[in-house]
Amino acid sequence: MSVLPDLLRQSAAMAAKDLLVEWRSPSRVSGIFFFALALLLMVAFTTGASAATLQKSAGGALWLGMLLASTRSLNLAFAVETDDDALEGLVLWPVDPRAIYLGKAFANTTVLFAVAAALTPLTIAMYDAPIRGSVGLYIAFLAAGAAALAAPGTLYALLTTRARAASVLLPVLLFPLVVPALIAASRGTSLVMEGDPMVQAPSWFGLLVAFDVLHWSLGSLLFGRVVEDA
Amino acid sequence: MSGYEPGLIGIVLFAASALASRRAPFAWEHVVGLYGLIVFAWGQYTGLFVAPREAMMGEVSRILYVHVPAAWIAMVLFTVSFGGSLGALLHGLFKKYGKAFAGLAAAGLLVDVIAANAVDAAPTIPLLVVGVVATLTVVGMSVLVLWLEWSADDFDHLSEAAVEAGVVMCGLLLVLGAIFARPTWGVFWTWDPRLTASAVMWLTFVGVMLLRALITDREVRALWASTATILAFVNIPITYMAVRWFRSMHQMQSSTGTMSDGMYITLRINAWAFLFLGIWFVARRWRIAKALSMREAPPALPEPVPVEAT
Repeated sequence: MSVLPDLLRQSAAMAAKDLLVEWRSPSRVSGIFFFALALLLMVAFTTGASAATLQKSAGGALWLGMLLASTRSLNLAFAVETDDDALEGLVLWPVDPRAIYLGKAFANTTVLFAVAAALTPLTIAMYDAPIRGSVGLYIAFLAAGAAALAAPGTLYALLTTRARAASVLLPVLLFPLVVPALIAASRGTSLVMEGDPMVQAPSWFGLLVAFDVLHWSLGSLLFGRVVEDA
Repeated sequence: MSGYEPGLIGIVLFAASALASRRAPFAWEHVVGLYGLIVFAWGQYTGLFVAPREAMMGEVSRILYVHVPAAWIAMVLFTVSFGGSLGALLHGLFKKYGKAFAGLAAAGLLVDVIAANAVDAAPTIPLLVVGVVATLTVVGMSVLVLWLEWSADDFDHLSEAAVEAGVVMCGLLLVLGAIFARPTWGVFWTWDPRLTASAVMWLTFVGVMLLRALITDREVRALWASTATILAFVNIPITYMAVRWFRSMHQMQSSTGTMSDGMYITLRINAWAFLFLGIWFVARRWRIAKALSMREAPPALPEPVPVEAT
């Protein structure tokens, strides 16, 4: 179909815009990096300092930090649009609204992936949990997990811009929805970190990818109707 | 007595009273609600005193007759809410193509029934259930749009009503399940796939209700809550099929082949009771939603004075 290259081009432009804004003043990325880091420390303190427990909970702690950081990131992603009513300009832009969604969701994925990648060496150090399994699969989990948080998150972040108590509403809406992805990502990364002797990580990865495919399609379908009223 | 009879009578009552109220408007849902209460009383009596004990669990198994219907009807109500959200978003589409959609849905159900019969008995129940529910949703929406001439707002009220009733029913399901689990599994709760999915389903729809409560603009609320409901609906097939797709402590779906007559007939009676009570709750809540939106709507401006040509 001839519409696909246009859609990709427009999404790329949208994503490039968001990432450029972020590159120029990286308040969002650094803010959520330190927030997630603080969370990793808190989880280590609260689950007790026993080395064995920490090693086992490394994957879970990483994803818990990512989840809580993602709500901040998503709120900030749309803050840049609501300041100076930039979102209206975006809606008036003569492009496929799916391109706006795909571009924004991709930019959010990139930010979350960058934060997760930056946190990895610190997690390995703090939790004494080196990656004994395949590093490639670990990176794949980070990417797919970031995408899983970004897809429904981008849609919900837009929905909550007009709601009162938006900063409370976004986690309440987002967290139950991403539970399957969270379980898959944290179990998968834990398995990869521990070496995965029974080769279970690929099935968790499959579940994560299925979640991604479903929510990226649903999000792009629904975003068009939603953004008109934002 | 197969257990379907109370349902058939109830459906006839539902249709008859709803049609009668089109001639002379009255609260038809009370008829259905009263019938539901009667069937509920009968079902509970049967469940507590008449139905046989389960071979291994004994008297504890009687909680089955409230836990399972609550689960089924919670999922049905969430599906109704999903249908309402689809209707609110796709109202124009259904107005144009409603008959085609209904026809396609009926044809799809036929294919589904044939496929289910061609395969072995036990795995086909989810297949049949999905087919029936999907067909009823699409056909129901077409009927509402084309015949009863519902507006997009009416569908949004239905979504709002069904979500609330569904959340209550789902909460009941979780509590009753915990009560059931303690003597049978030894724990009130465990993080197994079916239970986790049910809890997540409940939380997701609570989030939808919260979204509705926190958006003040009526049209934006209708649109965005519908979107959130459609996203939340993804949980229903996951919850229903979790016992088949994953290794779960919770048992798989039963069939007439795996349950004795006394038990599945009682289960059916109670399920019908919960369904008609659910219809009653949703209808009442729909009326409240409609009344609230009428109150919120701005007062109509007076007609402009006609200007005569001079």
